[in-house]
Amino acid sequence: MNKIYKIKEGFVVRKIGDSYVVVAVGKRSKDFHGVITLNETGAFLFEKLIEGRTKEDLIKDLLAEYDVTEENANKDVDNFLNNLIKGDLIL
Amino acid sequence: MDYQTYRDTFLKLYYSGVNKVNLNIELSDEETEIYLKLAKFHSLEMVLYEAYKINNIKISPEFNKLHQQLLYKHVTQIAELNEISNHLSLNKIYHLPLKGSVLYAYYTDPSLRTMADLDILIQEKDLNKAGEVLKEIGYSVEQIGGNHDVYYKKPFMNIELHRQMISQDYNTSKVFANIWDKIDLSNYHCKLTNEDFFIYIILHAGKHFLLGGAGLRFLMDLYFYLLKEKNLDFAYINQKLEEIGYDTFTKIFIDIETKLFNGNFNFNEDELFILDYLIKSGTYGTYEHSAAIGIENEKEKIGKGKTKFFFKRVFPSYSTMARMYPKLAKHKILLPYYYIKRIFKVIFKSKTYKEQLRSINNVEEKDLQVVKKIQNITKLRSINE
Repeated sequence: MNKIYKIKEGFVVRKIGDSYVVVAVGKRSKDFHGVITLNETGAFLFEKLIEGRTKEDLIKDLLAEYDVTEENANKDVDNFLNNLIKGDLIL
Repeated sequence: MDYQTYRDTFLKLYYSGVNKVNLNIELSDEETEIYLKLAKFHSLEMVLYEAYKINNIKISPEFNKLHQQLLYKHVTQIAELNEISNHLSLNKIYHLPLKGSVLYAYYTDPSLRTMADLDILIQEKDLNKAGEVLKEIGYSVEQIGGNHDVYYKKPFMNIELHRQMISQDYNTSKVFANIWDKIDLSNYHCKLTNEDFFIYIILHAGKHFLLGGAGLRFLMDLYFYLLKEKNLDFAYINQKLEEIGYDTFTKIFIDIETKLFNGNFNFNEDELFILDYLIKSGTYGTYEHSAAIGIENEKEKIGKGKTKFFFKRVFPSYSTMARMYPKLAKHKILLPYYYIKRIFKVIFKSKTYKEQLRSINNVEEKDLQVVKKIQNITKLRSINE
């Protein structure tokens, strides 16, 4: 069964000017004091991951929304997920 | 740089940053730092940043860093405000966000409106429960009692849970004394009518004005609020403001912000006098202004006025003391004990009180003349009478 990736509770993404910013709120902000800046594509994927998505779903979402090749979509989603896992934002 | 140039340039930067309009303002490196210092005094750093950006004025690395930090703080505060509201609603606690917690949403660019803390009105009976809700989401108690209970969460979240919209120490408290009888309670997240909120921000600014000065940020709040709320019932508003003597004060401030944010810098003598007073006051006023106002209101010669004002600061009325020390409200007999406690705090512990007392001592006759003129222009005299 494909693994479902989900953002941990307490992270929200907000648009500021042309950028998107992820901050921790509620109980989460006791342990996480950083801020993550995302571009539009990153914010799009982040919002999907708040709901919970498999890697394959994320690639499909990206292909449906943006004009990218499947190879690039695969690479982008891989990189994005790895960064989120490293940053301990994924359940 | 002479004061007039300093003031006039800052007002132009203010207009430029709020409206994101290039006025071809040129500044030296030294001047950019001077205006940044003034902007910090008025909590207008984000506005100044926009002014520098649009006028192609060099932004120092430190200012860029400050901008990023304030942006992060803004985003976190708004997200956290939402989170707090959700939790309060889940726990069936009626709550009414106040001041900046509401005003920021009226701004075309909400990040321009910095907030030191988030203010929320809670019914007295729910204050403890609301406090428990905040503790569940990571807040710690900083202070209980007085006009509001204070909770904080590192690195910068401060929440003030107010028990009254305006403290009973002030003569305008009666305006919103029974506010919970008026508010629509169909939703736990409550809202004032647009007219009542306008009256509230006027009275809140008036309070700061009468306690030590209000800064330039209030002009921006008025501007954006009136920009969005074009259909306010001014017959109702003016009637309420006239009843409490705030009509002239309101008119002069609306006149100033209308001119300023429409790029008209031709202020009359009274408007300039008010602007100068605001510029020297900063966001929250100064001890010096507060002392001068207090001494002038004693209506005595300066020496006697200072003595009377000093004693009122060190020995406030029982009702004021009872609000600061809740145990005193039930046991009036303890008043001498709490006065002694207060004297020890003043003498040995509190830098703030020492600064306030020093300010009383430093007031001169010319400061009282400024207060008299401000009172004549705005028709506001005292927050307590």
